[in-house]
Amino acid sequence: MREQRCEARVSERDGSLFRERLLPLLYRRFTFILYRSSPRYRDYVHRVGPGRVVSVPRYPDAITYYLAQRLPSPIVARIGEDGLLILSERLHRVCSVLGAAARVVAKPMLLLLRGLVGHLRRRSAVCQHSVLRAPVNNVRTLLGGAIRVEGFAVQNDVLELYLRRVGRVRNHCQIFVHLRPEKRSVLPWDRVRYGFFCKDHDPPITLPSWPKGRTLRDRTDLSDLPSGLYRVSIGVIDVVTLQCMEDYTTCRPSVDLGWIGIRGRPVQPESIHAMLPASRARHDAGTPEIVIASSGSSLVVPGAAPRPLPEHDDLFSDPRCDPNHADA
Amino acid sequence: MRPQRPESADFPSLPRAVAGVGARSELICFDVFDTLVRRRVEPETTKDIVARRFAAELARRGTDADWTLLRHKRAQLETELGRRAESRGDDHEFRLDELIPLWVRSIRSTDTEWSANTNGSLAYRRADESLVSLLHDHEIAVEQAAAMPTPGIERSLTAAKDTGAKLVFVSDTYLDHDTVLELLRGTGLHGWFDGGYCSSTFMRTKRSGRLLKLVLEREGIEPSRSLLIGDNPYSDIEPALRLGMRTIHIRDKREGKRRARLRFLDRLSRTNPYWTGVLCQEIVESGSGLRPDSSPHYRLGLTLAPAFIAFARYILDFSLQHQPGRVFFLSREGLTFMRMYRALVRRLGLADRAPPAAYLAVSRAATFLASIDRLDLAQLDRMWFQYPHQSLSRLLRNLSLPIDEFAEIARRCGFEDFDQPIEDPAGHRPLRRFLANGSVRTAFLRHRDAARSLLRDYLAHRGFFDHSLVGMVDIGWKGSIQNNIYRAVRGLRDCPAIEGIYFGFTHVPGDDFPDSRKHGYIADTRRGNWVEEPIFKNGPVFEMFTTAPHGGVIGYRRLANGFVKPNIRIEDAERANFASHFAEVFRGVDDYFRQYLRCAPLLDASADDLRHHVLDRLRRYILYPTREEARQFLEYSHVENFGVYKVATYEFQGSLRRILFGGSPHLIPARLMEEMRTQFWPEAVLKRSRIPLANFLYDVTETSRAAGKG
Repeated sequence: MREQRCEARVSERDGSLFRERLLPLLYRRFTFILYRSSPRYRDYVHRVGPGRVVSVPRYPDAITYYLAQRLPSPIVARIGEDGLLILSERLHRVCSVLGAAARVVAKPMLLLLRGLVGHLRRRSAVCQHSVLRAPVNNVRTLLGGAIRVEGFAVQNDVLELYLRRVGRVRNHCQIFVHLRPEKRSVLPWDRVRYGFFCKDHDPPITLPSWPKGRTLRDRTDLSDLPSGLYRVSIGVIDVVTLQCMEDYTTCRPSVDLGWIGIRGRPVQPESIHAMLPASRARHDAGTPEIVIASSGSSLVVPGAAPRPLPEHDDLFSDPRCDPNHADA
Repeated sequence: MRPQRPESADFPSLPRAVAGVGARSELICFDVFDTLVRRRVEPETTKDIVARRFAAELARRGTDADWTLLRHKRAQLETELGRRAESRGDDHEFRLDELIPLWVRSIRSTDTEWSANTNGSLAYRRADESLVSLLHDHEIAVEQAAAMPTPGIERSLTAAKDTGAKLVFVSDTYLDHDTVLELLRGTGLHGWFDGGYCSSTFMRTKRSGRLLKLVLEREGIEPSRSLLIGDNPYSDIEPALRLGMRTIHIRDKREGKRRARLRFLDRLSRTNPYWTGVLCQEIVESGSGLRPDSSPHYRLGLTLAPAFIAFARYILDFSLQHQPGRVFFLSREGLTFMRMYRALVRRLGLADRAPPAAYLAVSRAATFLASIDRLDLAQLDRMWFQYPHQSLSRLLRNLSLPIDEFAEIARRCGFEDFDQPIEDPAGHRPLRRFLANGSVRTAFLRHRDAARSLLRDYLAHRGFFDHSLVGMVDIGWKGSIQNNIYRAVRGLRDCPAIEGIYFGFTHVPGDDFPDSRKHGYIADTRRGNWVEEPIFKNGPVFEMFTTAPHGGVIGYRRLANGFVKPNIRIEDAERANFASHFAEVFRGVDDYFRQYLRCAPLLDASADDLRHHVLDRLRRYILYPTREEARQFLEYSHVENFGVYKVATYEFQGSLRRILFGGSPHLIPARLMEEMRTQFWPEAVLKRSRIPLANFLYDVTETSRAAGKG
């Protein structure tokens, strides 16, 4: 008897157990459209190749399938698959017309808004998408919802960080780079208590020099470090509040880039304790580069003007190297 | 003779109609397809599937052929054979066993190599014969997989039997009588019939009326004392009425709707692989082996099962492509996938090509100590990074080191409370002194070497070192066990290269080794696709419902005969879980998989094709759970037995007071978002809150942030 009941129920459901509800279907499609227009999606497509992109159904097809599940059986059986396909195409046309109408209405308003913002920021309108390709090493993460770590590269003992400003940053900010050595014995006496070398970007990056949507390539020279393996953490500090911008996914104040090998200089035991504080061994390319893309070509222009290294750089009083501010 | 008036009925009313109309009948003829049995796919689709197999076999033999071309050739041959039959005075009909050899030969004749071989040498003829036999068997297997009994048909057959009439089946089909009987046996309907007639046997069809005439002659029954039940007005009802038989015309709108949907999906799937997954879902779920109105736990099993099956399919595809010597399934989640993998290999007849599977009883706890090279913070950081706030006692437990042995030294190094969390290991003097202590290091190395030796011997017994390349399968997420095993065995002479296959994979920079690669199926953070990442929001749901019920591996012991066995421990909370709701979820997964296996020959979609729809289905579940799905999750718990030792539960863990009154009122949304991000599966929390549109707004916000727009 129970089996018969089950059979009857399956029969009534026409074989499809999970009938999609309309609202979640539309919501997911909406957020996907939001995502699809982002640089992140374009990067993803570029990374995996067009043939391997996760495909989603067209709006009209999805709605037609929804209707094919929900409409009364006689109607669906009568219109058949041809009718469903025609319905899908007509829905497609309707959606296209509605979309075009929305764009017609939205475009002047967006242009106006963009012009206003541009005027306020005293910037000419430039393409918001950087064509600078960060190296593909998958550390993409969002700091403070505003700065995206695009990637990094280590070449000839120079660490290159690719950071893109994608949201609102309230104050000037400072990039920090912490290098935790595999052999802790290589740390100079003044760094032992922290357990890592500190390579902060100094001076801080000023906001006007790093507009939204542009990628900053920050170079840090690591050749002055003793050779060996280092675990690298990076992050960004708001120089006014001294708060670290948290990694959006892990809620940590820094992003772990993993282990890197540095050829550096050979370790000389007698000189270890005589090493200068790490920030004195400042990276020599203190100028970050900001890449502006205009009509498909990239132009590398200097960002902040180079400044001389600070004469007195006492790490003990430097809050940026306080382990409470980083992931010591 | 005045034609009888046709009766009409749908399947629910068929028993009554049969009892009424069939009361004065001595013979009741049933149509087979779409009356006694339904096809899970359209008849033309079964031919497509065979054509694809044909193309694949030709490709294996070195001849490239487009399957659509093969399909076209078959259609031509079917027409040609029908014409030939007509020219002989028979009806327009053909037999499968005459079609397939001609089909194979039609392709061979276009093969230049074959043509050059003087009308086919003996070797070529043998190759053709094997191909003919393979395609013939495959077509029958596909037909058998496609056939399922029409729901409720037994009641109609009982009603027919009760009339005392003789029951026969009559079918217009190119399959022979024995094959049709075999199909009916597969659906459990063969026992009802006293005989059967197929058009391909007699080369007479129902449509022309000659087959029905032959049936009446052979059975020796007057047309007016016989009844035909069928769905096709042209080949069943019209000819029977012409002969003076009584008829019941089955009109089933629901079945018509299902078939219209199948054809619709079939067309869409040719342009967008997303629909391939939907089509597979329709085919699998069209059977009656599932209980959708059972408990919500069972339904959760049905929701998760397609993703697990697609992953098992991915393991199979990956293994066939890369050919590792053996595929190791890591405990405990691996057990479910190993069973699926083995069942798929058997069902698809790939035992000779797919690598063997083996189960490895391992865990993070059982492999971590063996993986450490030396006792220092850089090594421990692998674990500390993932599980901060370790105390000394927890650290020693994670290292599988006996705390009693180290307690005295720890006190001497300055530890007072062994359970005190260490916030800053680099700046923690007692810890640094402890790790630098010579006795600690010696004892550590002794324990480490013992653990490493046991692990290596266990792996050797499982055949780990017998191949140059092995596969390693686990649910995810960072591939820590694979890392641990690789670290413990690297440098050994026979150490194989490892291909890690994961349901979802979170890449950790620094965990990459040239000989130990990892691949994520549903999600892989290296692809950087936000659409995939929601599955990490509810990782435990995938862990809980694939985990084996045998408990966790906590280490290994050596037996007297030298073999190494894993030590297993199951927590009480886990035991309670398996005894309660988990069993229902597992039953849902099992039922779905059983149903999938039945239809497996029909589902020739690759794992890559299935992924699109499976991912969307999981996104629906995670981002937009129903209230029932969100609520039922509160009944589950998950036991963490490495890094942290706790039973995780899934209720809201935060402070509403802090959100509302913890600062300026205009920052309430910010505090709310901050609080939500710390929750486990925030979408379920929002759904339970019953705030309208909360899930949608949260999804928009998160997507905007992730896309870099927030």
